[in-house]
Amino acid sequence: METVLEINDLHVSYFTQRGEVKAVNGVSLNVGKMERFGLVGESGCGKSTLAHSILRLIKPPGKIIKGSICVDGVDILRLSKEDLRSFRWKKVSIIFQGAMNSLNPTHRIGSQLVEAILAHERMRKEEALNKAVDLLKLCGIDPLRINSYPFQLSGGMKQRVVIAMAIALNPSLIIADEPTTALDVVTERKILALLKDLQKKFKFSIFMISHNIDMLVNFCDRIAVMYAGKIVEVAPTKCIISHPLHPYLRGLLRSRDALSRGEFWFISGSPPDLINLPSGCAFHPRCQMIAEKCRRESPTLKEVEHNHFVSCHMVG
Amino acid sequence: MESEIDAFRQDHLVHIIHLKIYFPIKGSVFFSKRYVRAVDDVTFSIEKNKITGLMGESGCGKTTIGRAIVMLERPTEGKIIFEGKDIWKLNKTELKNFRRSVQMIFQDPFASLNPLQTVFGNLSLPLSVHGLSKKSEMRELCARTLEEVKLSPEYLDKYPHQLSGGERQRVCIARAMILKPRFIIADEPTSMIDASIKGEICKLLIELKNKYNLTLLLISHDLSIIRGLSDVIVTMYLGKVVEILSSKKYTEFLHPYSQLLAYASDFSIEDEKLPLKGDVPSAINPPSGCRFHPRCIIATEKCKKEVPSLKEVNPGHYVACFLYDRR
Amino acid sequence: MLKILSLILHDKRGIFGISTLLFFSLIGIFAPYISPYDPFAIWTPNLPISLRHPLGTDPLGRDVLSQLIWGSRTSLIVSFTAALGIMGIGLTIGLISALSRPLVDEVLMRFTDVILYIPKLPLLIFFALILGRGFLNVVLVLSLTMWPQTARVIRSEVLSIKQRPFIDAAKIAGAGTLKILAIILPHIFPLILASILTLITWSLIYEASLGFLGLGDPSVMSWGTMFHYAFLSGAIYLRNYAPIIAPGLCITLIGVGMNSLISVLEEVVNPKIKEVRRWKPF
Repeated sequence: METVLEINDLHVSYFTQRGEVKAVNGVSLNVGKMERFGLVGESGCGKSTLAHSILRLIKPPGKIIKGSICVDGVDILRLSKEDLRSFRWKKVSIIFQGAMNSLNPTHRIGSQLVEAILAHERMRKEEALNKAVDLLKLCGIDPLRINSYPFQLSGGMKQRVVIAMAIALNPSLIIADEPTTALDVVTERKILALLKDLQKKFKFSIFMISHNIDMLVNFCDRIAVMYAGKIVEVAPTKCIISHPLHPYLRGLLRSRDALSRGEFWFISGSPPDLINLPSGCAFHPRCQMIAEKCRRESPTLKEVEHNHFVSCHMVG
Repeated sequence: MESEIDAFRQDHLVHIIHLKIYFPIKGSVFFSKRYVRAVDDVTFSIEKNKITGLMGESGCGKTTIGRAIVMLERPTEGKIIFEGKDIWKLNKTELKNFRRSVQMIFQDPFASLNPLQTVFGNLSLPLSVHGLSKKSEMRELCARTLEEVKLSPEYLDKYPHQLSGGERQRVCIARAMILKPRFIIADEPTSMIDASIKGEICKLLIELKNKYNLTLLLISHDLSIIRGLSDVIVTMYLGKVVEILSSKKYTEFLHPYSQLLAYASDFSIEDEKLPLKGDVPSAINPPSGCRFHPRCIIATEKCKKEVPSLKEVNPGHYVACFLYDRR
Repeated sequence: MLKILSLILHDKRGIFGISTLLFFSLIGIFAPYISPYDPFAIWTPNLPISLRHPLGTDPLGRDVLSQLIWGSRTSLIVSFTAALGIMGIGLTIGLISALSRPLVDEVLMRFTDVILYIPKLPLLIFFALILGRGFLNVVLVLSLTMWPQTARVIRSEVLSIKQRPFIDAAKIAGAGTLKILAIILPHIFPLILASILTLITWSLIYEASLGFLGLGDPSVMSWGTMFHYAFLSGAIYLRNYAPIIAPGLCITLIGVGMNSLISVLEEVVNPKIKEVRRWKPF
């Protein structure tokens, strides 16, 4: 499989007054061409930091400490500022969490689109404007609304504008960080359908990050599970549903299933403090099947069956 | 006092009668008073010792109703009756009593705690307001309430920022319980809680409800939480109630909107099979007739002109849709 | 409180700000002991800087350094008192406005606007002329004209705190307006403190302006009085800049010190809240 994104042993930390927050603690993963790749994790697991790192958007007190991130074969962590600019948005673009609120409320959406295009590619203003109109049409927005202000649009429409911006320069990879969290479920489904449609048309890969595993199961071809800064399981979606292996993933799926039956199940304890990580396996304080080894040694990702990787001492 | 659905019944704790809450929009260019019709003529009642789930998308008015019941919003029209009395006509003593009987849990556990006070400070506030215990007893009482939500007394001296999201929400639940209320409104209690812990909060709410014979109004946009917890489900759309059903006798949703929500929430259903049509309308200028008609795949001419009212289709199951009109 | 103080002192700006404040306050307090001469005593006019007269003498023959030292006492007392007076009125009106019914709020704010829109200096002069000379009057005048800004700032902060769910929770628990006020006050302490610091600077400047115009009390030495006599005696034409630059520099120095303190204060208060809200970048 040709890869569009290759992350190798990435470490990103935030150096705060309270200590070093190890947000990304040794992450390696690949995203293939035209693949819909999902990343699931809860608050404080480091998934947004991971997303930001791919575009080198980490600002102090955050710092990318080590590792490599290769997009289409180019290690973007070694790029100069000039090259970085042409890389951003043309190779990789991002749809942020709460993106609808990242639209500038004082500018019309048309001019924001044009600005985004012109910031990364040289073309005449009329060309950019035409492109903006096309993009809006593609994303299901009436082109007549090109002169609207963000506040005149609904949440779903604003998100479509943000998506239009993301696909503007035909990137190879789009990172979507919780793109539908703030939307109601009906609009969420429409937006996801739009993304699937655009992906088939423009043949880009999507790296979708969410805390909602159901949504990822519906949307993605492969899913990775992140916990306390590490990837604990990666597998094709079919395998994730049919035989999830890591205790954390199993716990997530079980609590979701229980609810649909009217029962309640949960993983006891809470996500760890990334400054004071537990010894050995970060999940061990909450795990049902621990052994002595789990307290001492941190497990690594191993391929347990074809294309199915798990990081757990008790599996495989 | 009669509502369209029930005569005033002893086994119903709260009656909401023809409630309208309109918010004026300021700064209209043409000096015309425009309103956001957050709640537009809503009538239903809440049964004692049951969990009523109020469900709908954001902007449908469910949170506004919750806030209106605790008197944080003033009705534009209509009444809210609690234990037989109109809450806006209570005298001082009755009002004090009301404040002890009705409490609320909010969506954002962090924002609903005073960050400058310890857990003890936050928990003891309701006690000190009502002058309910001496200083020496307060700490003991707060510790016991914390135990109810499965937190040890050492949490009393912690600050909100030292707690995890789930712990904070449990402190909020403890605060709501400390006055021993009869009725608790939970406004999206789990939407900001991690997926692996949602179940814990839900389980706690049910346990407390059973132990203390509470009446609960659960407000949520998450269908799985509503289905999992509620005895009665009330669906709202754009300021109106469109369906009421008992989830124990639950068979299927009948109203097209409830069905749409149910299908959309089920991610195992493919996108192509969903009856998606139209866009979310505004609450300032709602569609004529049945508010859902622009998005309804079975809308007729009648739906565009007339407003359907809630009719009992099966025992205890009310739907506001012309499809089920039996004339 | 002590935590805030120690955090401030850890920052260079904080040290600078607090030292400036302390320095001038001490000078003011110990003026009678530090000042080399009586500020109104006459020597040879327009003497240059020397050991006997470290800042020279003004065109009327008075020692500039003595004037500066004694002046600091009056100027600082006036500005501290005025700052407290302004805060007193501004805080009260801001709180009442934010916590009352919309109608009361609207009325109070319109009234505030009226005072706010009137240009400060003419208003100050007007009141000063009516009330007559004297530093007590200066304090009174400043308090009556400079409160609107403060009132607005306090009001907007209180309004935004009022929206937060924990206030709703308090209301639902039965808290009345006074209790809500008690809950909100600790949240606005840093703002009150920062505002007082700003007000001290502005009061200093306006006191100097009024003094310059002779509307203070020319018989008592203050930095404003120094400007007044410097101007009257033609110090500028005579190229004797000391009596003008010296007090001006002091006011500027205090202003810079205050602003440094304020910026440290903001950072001390905010990261607590920033750190506390689960790290957004994740």
